[in-house]
Amino acid sequence: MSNVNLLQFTDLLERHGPDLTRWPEAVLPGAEALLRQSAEARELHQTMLGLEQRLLGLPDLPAADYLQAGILAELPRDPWSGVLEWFTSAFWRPALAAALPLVVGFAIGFYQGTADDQYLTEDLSLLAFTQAFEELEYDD
Amino acid sequence: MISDPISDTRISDEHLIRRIAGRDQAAFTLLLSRHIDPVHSYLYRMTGSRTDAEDLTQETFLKVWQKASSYQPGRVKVTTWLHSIAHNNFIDGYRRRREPAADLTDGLPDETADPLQETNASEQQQRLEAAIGGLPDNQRSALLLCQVRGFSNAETAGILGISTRALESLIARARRSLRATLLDNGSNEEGAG
Repeated sequence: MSNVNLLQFTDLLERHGPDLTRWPEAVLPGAEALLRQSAEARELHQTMLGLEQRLLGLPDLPAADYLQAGILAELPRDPWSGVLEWFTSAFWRPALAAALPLVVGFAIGFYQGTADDQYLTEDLSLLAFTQAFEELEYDD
Repeated sequence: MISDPISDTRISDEHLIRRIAGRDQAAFTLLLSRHIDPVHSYLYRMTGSRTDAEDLTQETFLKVWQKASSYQPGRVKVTTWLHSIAHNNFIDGYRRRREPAADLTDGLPDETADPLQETNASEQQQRLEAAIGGLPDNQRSALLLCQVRGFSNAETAGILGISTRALESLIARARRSLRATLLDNGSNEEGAG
């Protein structure tokens, strides 16, 4: 496209905006020539430039502070981090955590002790039975 | 843990997303503080309601937390990805339960010190916001992403899930409509004055 008429220029302006560097290279020479020659094209370009500047000047509509806090509060929590937080949030909880192996040790020791006593009773019964059997054989 | 505010500015969005995929809440907080205002602004202008914009902004960032591992660095910029999620939320969630748009001009920050200038700026701004609010959804989103947020035509087409050519048509119609509305308003005011 070497020559650009006003209709084509308007279409290009509406598609790509007033910044000519964003226009397709093929149409640039024709568009620039029309801008030099036509007062109507220049006026159209100026109007679009003004509109673009007003759009670019629109301020951000900032989010309220509570929104950011609300989003962070809604994050799904890792269950393990909850356990960790429970242990570290009060001074007696780490002590409880440290004492836990001790409690477990006592429990295992108590269980083992009871089991040994049971085995001992069984052994004694067996011994007593064997002795009684031997004495019976001896009497015969 | 991200705590040093000076080094924070040097951490790229892509790096933050990688850390968010590994469930780093500090990285998420930093990404949120960087991008919450642009995303909220876009959604506010799309919905015309602060409450709906807040709901959609929240949904958008919670999806970022859930889907951070699906982000592909190098394919699109993080800002483009964020606006895609925001736009899809608008399409999927909001449009189905739409109510009449409220006044967009409440809560706009004052930027000038001179009261006369402030009145002029705010009137002009209100007229522009109203003209943007009057555009159809697809034209409004194309215009906001391209002209206000500064995405390229190709990036905007990617966000909206349409071809670049279709986007150019949308944005051409939006510019034409906006120019006509603002020129009409201007000549009406001149006539009245």
